[in-house]
Amino acid sequence: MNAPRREDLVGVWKTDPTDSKGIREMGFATLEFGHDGKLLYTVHGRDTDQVSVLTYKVEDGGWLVTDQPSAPKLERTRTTITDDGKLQLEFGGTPTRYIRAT
Amino acid sequence: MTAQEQFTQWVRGDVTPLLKGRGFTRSGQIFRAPRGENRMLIAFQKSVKSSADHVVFTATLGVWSHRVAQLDRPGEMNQQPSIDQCHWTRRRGELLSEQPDHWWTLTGTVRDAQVTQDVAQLLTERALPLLSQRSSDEELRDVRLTGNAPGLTEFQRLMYLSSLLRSVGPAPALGPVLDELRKETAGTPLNSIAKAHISRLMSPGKHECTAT
Repeated sequence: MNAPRREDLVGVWKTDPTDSKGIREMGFATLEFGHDGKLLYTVHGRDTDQVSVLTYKVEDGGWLVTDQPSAPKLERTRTTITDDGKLQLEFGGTPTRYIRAT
Repeated sequence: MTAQEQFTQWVRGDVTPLLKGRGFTRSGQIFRAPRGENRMLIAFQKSVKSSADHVVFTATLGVWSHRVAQLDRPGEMNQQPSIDQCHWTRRRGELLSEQPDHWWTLTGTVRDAQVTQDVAQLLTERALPLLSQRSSDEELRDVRLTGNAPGLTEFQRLMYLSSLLRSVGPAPALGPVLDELRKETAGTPLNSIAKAHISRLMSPGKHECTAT
């Protein structure tokens, strides 16, 4: 497990289809980390997608700090890159894994 | 015989008869018993600190709600849920002293009789009564409504509670909990998850509340 730097996150990540607990509790999601510090977090619902437009930065130790300009609230999320290259986030207390899509 | 094999034999020979008499069936090191459509679980889990000479293990209790599972992930219904799929869990330590981690050690010696006695006492005096008390949807809802949810974040508590309220009511309590969930997650990545969850709960064809 490694603490990622910002450049490690940039790109598109999708829910790891083998992460059954993460899928059950958090649903299928796509994270798009931009070079410009923007993060699009999309949860794919059965009928519609729910999108949060956030800003992000990465602090020492792999802490992902997000904010939403339209409803400001700093959120710190523990983030690691697993030994097999997956992104693990602990949103809301549940570790969820993502695989790189681009 | 390795300690691992002794552990497997211990679960089969010492624990299974005790729990079988209480309506549980064993699959590996997990015991399940029905309560209506819900399932009560007792899972014996080995620590990574186990070795060829000894097995370090703990027990976790769980309750799996059929209605919540059906509401949240209808495509993934499983009548043999794992402890990870449960909607309420307690570790052995939480039953004893509010400490999350307490472990037993089996070494294949005569001292193991004490472990068996400890396990039997814990199961009959604490675990089984607590499981019985917590295994209906109404009881799961009530414990979540109190805000007392050890091991869960507030986000997780509100997610489970809203599913339970949607399933078993009372319907008037659902709106305030959904408002709380929206407020709790506003401005965070969890907001998308909460919105998708609320959309799923409110979509037609879902379970209606059956209690008041």
